[in-house]
Amino acid sequence: MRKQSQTTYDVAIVGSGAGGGMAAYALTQAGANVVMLEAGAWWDNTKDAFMMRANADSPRRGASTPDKPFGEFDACVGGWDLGPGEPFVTAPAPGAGNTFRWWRARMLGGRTNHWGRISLRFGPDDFRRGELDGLSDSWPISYADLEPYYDKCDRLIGLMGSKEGIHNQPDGIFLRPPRPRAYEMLVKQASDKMGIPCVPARLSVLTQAHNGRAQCHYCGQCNRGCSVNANFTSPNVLIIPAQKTKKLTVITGAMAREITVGPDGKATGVSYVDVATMQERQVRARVVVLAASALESARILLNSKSSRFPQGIGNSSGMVGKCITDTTGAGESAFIPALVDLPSANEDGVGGGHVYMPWWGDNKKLDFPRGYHIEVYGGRGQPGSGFMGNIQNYPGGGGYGAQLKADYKKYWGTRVGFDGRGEMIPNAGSYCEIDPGGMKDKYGIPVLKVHWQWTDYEYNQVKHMRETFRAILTEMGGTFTNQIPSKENGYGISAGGSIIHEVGGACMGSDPAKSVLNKSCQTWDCENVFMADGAPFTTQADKNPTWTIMALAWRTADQIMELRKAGQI
Amino acid sequence: MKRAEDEKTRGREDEAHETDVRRRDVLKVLAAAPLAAVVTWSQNDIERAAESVARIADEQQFAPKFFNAQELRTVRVLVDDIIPSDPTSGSATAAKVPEFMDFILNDGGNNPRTQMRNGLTWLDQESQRRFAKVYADAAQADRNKILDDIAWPARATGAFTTPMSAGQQTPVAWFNTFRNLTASGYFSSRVGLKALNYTGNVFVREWKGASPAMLQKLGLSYDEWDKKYGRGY
Repeated sequence: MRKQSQTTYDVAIVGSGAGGGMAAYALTQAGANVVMLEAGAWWDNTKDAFMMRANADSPRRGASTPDKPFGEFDACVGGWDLGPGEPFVTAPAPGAGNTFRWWRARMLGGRTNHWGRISLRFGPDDFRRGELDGLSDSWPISYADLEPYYDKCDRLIGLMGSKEGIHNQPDGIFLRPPRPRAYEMLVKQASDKMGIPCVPARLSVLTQAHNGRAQCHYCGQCNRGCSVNANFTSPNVLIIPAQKTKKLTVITGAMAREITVGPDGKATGVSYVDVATMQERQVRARVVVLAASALESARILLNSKSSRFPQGIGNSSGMVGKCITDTTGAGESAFIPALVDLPSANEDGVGGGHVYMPWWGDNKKLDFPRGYHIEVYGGRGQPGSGFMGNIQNYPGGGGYGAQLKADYKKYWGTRVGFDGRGEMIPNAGSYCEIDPGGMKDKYGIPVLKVHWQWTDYEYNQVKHMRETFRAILTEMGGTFTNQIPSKENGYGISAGGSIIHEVGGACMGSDPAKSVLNKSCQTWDCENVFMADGAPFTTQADKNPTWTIMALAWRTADQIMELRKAGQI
Repeated sequence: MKRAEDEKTRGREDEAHETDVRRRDVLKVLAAAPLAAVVTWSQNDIERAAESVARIADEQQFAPKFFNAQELRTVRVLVDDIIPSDPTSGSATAAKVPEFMDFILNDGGNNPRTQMRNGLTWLDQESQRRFAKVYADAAQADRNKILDDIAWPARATGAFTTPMSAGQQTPVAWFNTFRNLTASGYFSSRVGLKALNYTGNVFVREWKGASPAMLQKLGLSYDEWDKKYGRGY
């Protein structure tokens, strides 16, 4: 058995998701000797995925379970509730949606195993919101700093899309987009009339073979994990290739407790609990990179208390855990008469919409700042548990017998819906801290308490989403059975964390008194501690965060290697 | 003419139902056979009994974990009332919907267990009150009378839209849930996939988009699409 305490690695990475995986990939490519800690077990989508398992062959027919909230075949081990052994505390506040839900993965690759593969670059404006509207800070880096890394991600990982040249929606290096499904063509026809752009989706799904990975076979089940690697996961695009360099050691079942610090105030490694034996262990490293997911990384920083860092590492500013944001979310769907009784066809396609609507609005004419994008769904996916719920809301009005059976067939695939995903402004009421009540998890690690508050910026944005979605659906001839939720109900805004885009908590900035990280994602306080997940995000955007997490992690890895070369860390 | 046909169908269904009852009687006799040595069997009786025993054996292989025996009897009749067989596809019991329901209701999570149980009890009470028989024993025409009252929420009235008892759901709300579960179980089964003519969950070598027939019905064409937007779409 290897004595872990005798090896000193160049870099210890905590977490194996998008950020940790990319840091490991880039650092090992650059020659660093890397150890990676993952709290969950090994997971390899080419071996462990449930791709194309028929719902019909399961007694559960694909329904969700407490362990698999997104369906029994979903490729994420973890979920909203990790059980009594790994609690966290929320502090529900008055106002709609003001509580926090936290999706935590416990597996190699984390949430990249089941994510929606929506791979959007942040735009130039997204890095300089402080200058543009002053409602939040600007990032200490610009789009130009990240652009080469977005390009590298595109080339390495591969994504589908189309060049559009839309303001603040940078184009990438795209593989051919798949043809739209029939209902998606109706969506575009309607949105065109309303001046809302509807363009091919940008998903890290391979519509052409790429870097030795097979092209997509259009089963529509990306979230189950792809057995042929036709979409992006951290294990098979980053970690397993990184292992081939012989420079990466992955330790699974390793729940990080804290960063250890030497007498000189520099990090010496990471202490962790071996979850199988509950024994305390440690890895030693010259550099520590946290990529445990934004809030978990903030938790590790806060728990890394020492005489040198009594408030935790990186927290001399008191900013660790602050400025956390999620994406706003709301959806509307309608019955579309034009889609009644269509001839049968396989509408699976890639695992997600083939089109989406990037932000188009002008905030000068709106009662909220920033924007959102629209995700489109509909069609005839694989029937499973929950199939066509509430048939009474279709024109047949319900019923039974031969008429009902005919109605199910006739109305299958006639619902089209939109999900809005928008930018939240960081606010003082949304933050996390180590639970002042002293709660600890089963490993004896103090847990987080998460505070959440939406403001009128977000409520008004969600109202605009719903009104817009209904206008497009109405243009398509759609009819509704529900009303827009009231103002008192926050127009039905999703609870904090629900969209699983939580970022921040160790924000980058230009001022050490107001931020945790400098523009290299290096903690101001401890020169050999870096962050490589969503924690550094100064602000959100009207885009999903994953592509930016990876571009930033790659850049951070390069910065680490440069600083190492210069002998500075 | 139409009416006469309906009557005829209903008559056949009632007859089938009667046969079921007779089967049960036969089974009782069979069970008691060693003691009742003097029973004389016609060939017809024997065939019918053999068929019943085979079917009961099949059903008995399934040991319900959620439903009790009476509930399961009701469920078997009700799911087929909701999704019957037709010339092209099987019924809900053929798709083992009762087995699915039993599994899913027993599967943890937020399943509507109490709601389901209360509803089945209500259904038997309603049937007893109106037809002096529990639902599973009532004639198809009588069962339809109850379903007519609860299966269309927008036109349901009176007692059917008021709680079964204090703090409980309405009969209409229960039926919505029951119908949802029936459809879930049916259309996600192999039998149901066939009924839907579902063609997905397969390897597709080249994604060609929507089928020509679908595009034609919607007045769409990829050629025109490409001309207008470019191949990017």
